[in-house]
Order: sequence, then C-alpha cells, then structure tokens
Amino acid sequence: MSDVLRGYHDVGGRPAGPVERTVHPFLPWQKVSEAMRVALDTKSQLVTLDELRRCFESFGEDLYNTLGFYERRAEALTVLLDEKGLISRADIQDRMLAMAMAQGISVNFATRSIERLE
Amino acid sequence: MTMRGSRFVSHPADEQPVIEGHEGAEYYDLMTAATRELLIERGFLEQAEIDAVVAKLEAPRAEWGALIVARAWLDIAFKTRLLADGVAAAAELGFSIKEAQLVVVENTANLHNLIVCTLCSCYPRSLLGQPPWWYISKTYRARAVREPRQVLKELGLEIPPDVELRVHDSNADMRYLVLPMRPDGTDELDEAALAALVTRDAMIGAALAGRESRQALGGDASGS
Repeated sequence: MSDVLRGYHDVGGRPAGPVERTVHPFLPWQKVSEAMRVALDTKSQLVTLDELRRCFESFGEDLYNTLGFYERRAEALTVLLDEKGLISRADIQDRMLAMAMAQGISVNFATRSIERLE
Repeated sequence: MTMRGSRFVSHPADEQPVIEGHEGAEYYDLMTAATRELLIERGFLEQAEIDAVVAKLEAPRAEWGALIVARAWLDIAFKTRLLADGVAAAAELGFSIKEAQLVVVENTANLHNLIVCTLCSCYPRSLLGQPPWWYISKTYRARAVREPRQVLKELGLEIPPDVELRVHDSNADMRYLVLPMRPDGTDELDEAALAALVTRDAMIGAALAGRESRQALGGDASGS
C-alpha cells in the first residue's frame, strides 16, 4: 500500500516490537478529559468523536508517536476548541500558567512537561 | 440485577489498569484541569455534566459481557439472536450499547476469532469498560493483523495450526465481541458460575474461557 495515501495512525500490518504487557491505572485526568469531550458532544454537538480523531490523525506524526493514548485526545480537544473559536489556545495556556504558579510548578510548553520548582 | 441497575454508578475505587501511561502526563493533567475550568466558566459545560459522563465511563465492566456469553451458552435461541444483532440481544439483558453496532463472532473447534482496532482503539467500552492496555498499544494494533498467531503466543495463547484464525478490525461504527467456546466439564454450572469463567481477554479472543486460560494470560492487574 502506498504510504502517500496512508495516514500515520494507520498502523495495521506495519512492523512493530513485542506486545507490551505493562498496565496503567485509568487516571482521573484521563477520565475528565474524555468526559468533557463526550459531554460537549451529547450536550451541544460542539466536539464530536469524528472531529477529535480527524484532529489527532492530522496534527503531525511526531506528536502522535510521542503522546500516549489519552494525551493525544487531550491535545486534540484543545486544538479543536481553539479551531472552533470556543476557547483559544492562549487562554488555556494562560490558565495553565496560573494554576501551575499556585501549585509551585512550572510549565514548559515546548516540551509539554511540568517541572517542580525547588 | 444490581449490576445492570447500577449502570450509572461509578466505581471510584476500581482503577481499571488498562490505559496507556506516559512519563510526562502531568502536563496533560494540568491542561485538562485548565480546560475544565474554562469550559465551565464560559458556560459550555457544568461540573455535574462532566461527573455524569465519568460515572458512565467507570460503570461498564467485563463481567457484563460475561453474562451475555453465559446466557448464549445456555440458551440457543438467545445465541442465535446475539449472533444476528449484538446490540438488540444485549438490550434484552439490560445492557445499552449506543456507540456502534456490536458484531458477535463465535469461536468453534475449527475457528478462533481475534479482535483489534488498527486505526484507533475501538472497543465495546459501554459494555466491557476500558480495553486492556496492550489492546490500545501500537504494537498490538500493528501486528495483530499481520502475525496474529505470534501475537497471541506472546499473550500466552497458542492456536493450533489446523484451527483457522480470523482477525476482525473494528471501526467507529462497528465493535466486536468474541463468543468463546464453553469449556468442557461445565454442564452442571449455572449462569453465574459460567459467567465467572469468561474473562475480558476471552471476549477479545486473546484467551480461552475457563480458569486455566485466565491464569495463563495474566496481565490483568485486577487480579481476577
């Protein structure tokens, strides 16, 4: 199959390593992120699952490959909210900074990571 | 039954050990908290609406699917209806599957079925809860359609060469449930005892029904 027509999310049949057997808890933020997306869909059709998938299946291979399953979805949700003019990315980042300051942590938007202030 | 009646009751103590983790997840924890505050402040959502969905996410569990399997083993007419229309048959037992069609595929002595979602991680979540972590991993999604026998071997299940192995690729509109074979020596068991033999992995096709396969597959931090 031509990779020209094949999205990076379309991994069926590609070579890959051993199936990983590690397990992880379903974290509260993951549940809330998913719940916000579902609630926005059922309440007002503001963000549908198809739109979310279109978003993380087109926001770039590097991001797709470095983010975990729920991280992709959380990232895509903010991209969609920004695209639709509901909540801008700048507003979300400003709020993240304010919340981080209150918690004594700092945010690195370039590396998408949190650092604890000494 | 309380299990069916408690569809919207959350089980906060039950952290289903199945979702992909990530070292840097604190960033998305913070981003989600910020997004939640802004959505509520601007009137797009109320906290109660978010809480209600979280409860719905937490309620389904593999035991619900196991009850459907056990009923199908005991009631041939139900099994026929289940194989014809999974959503309608599940509704007979009180389970509401709204996200997609449910296609039920039956294992036999000559045919084994395995479920994957190569594109994403489609899974009958409203019936079974969250899938195992390996199910949403890229390695499983990539390899299950190319070398399913080897993948199953890594998961602890060896399919004899003379048994046909059929892999089903899920999508947004179609979810699958494997109807495993009823284990030998279970003629005396009632529905509840039969359901106890059916694991989440057996309904994906990554294990057989029965106590032995449950132990062989492992990887389920719920310890069952």
